[in-house]
Amino acid sequence: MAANEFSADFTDVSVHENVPVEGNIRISVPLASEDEDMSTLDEPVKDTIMRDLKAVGKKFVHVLYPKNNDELLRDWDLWGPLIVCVFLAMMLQGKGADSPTHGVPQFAEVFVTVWFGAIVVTFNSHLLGGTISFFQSLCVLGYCIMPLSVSLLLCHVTLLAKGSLPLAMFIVRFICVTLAFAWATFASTTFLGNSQPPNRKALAVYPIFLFYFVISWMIITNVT
Amino acid sequence: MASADEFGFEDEGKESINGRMQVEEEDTEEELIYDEGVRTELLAGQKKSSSFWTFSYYQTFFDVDTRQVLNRIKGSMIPLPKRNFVRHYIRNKPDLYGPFWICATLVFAISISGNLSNFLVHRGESGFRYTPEFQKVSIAATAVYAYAWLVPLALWGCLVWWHGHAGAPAPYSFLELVCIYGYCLSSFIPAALLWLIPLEPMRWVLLVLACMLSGGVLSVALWPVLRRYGQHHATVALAFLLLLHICLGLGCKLYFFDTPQAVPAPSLPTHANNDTMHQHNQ
Repeated sequence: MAANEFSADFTDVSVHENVPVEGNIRISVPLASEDEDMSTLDEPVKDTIMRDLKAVGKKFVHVLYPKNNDELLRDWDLWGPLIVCVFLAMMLQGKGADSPTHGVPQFAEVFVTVWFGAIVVTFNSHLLGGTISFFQSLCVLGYCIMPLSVSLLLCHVTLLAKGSLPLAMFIVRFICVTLAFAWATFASTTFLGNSQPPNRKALAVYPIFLFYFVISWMIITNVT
Repeated sequence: MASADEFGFEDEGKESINGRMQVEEEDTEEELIYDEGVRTELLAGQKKSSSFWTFSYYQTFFDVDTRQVLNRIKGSMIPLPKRNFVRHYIRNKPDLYGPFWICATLVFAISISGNLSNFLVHRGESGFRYTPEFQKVSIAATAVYAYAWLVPLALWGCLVWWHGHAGAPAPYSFLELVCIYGYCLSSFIPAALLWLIPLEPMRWVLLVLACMLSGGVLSVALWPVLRRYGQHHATVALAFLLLLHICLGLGCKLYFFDTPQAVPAPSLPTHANNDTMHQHNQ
């Protein structure tokens, strides 16, 4: 039996039995709903992938119809540029050093040209005093290569008709690539042009023009 | 004298100035020249004393407008004896935009134009397969960038060393030398584009014209500086620099642009050379 000693200053109060403690400490007030929305850790993987793919796809659509809106800049990502660059490099690459496709750029050459070129152009517009951040600019430049990739696909289609009417096919390819080049340059200047002070806009646009020109050149000389 | 450190206002430089002024009190003229040189050096260098490793340090070299860049390109194509490119156009505000992008444009102009002209020259031949010759882009880039940035570096090193003996900083900063060389190369861009046309005499005329224009601007800019070392040394140095310049133009023309051959001509020694060059390029 427990010794029921009880003193006035409560110094010796003690319980010598093992008293089981149980109860319910769940808070009855529900959690704030924002916390549950931000926690994407529990959602199915399919949801995550589809959300990112939709964002990338939406940006490609923005490039197709370039209007001066901020969405491409605000929610930048580098998935789109990576997809476009890998596609370009895979289609443009040659087979090896000793094959008949000797002078054709290899996968690594195209990849490095595109990324290094985009980085240099971004640095240039940043150094000239542009207000866009580094990754936003990379994002825009990468996404705007998309029309050129589409023209590369069309070029491959025309090359499938081997031997028949080579000059006409070349003219078709040339027009395709030229249109895509103009589109890409126009789209990127729409997004990036307003970030430069007006007396330096041409200085910032020229490297972008050179960048897309080099990519167009690589596409149009791809005749294998 | 502390080494001419143009990349920042370091305290050891100021201390050495004070030290000199205490020791050589009677050499007021030399002091004045030295102080002027320091002032020119300070003005010619960077306006803000940002650290070498920050981004804003490099932003000072891109502080140019479109009109300024176009003016500088125009000035680099037209050599006038009275207009020193550095004093008249650069005016203590060198930029890196012009040299870098002119070199980039020249690299691609040479590669693309060379590739197209080779296609036009060899088009009818049997056994000719068109290739974009992409490896030539890296060769062109190495050659052009090495010339436009390493030669000014070497020249600046020489000037610093020679002027160091006289106790004054180099008359041109490294960036001004890079500007001269970079903007001078802009004369080669129209030449490279016109070399597309496979007419040999025209190509040689274009080469001579481009070399004369760019060499002229280079000479007008560098001669006043080199002349301080005596007529003889200056002539030799300038001749050497112009020779390097001509070598660049000649090398570009010969390596990237195949000579058009006369349609079935009997075998001449030049044709054998062209064939080997063609095979070498392929």
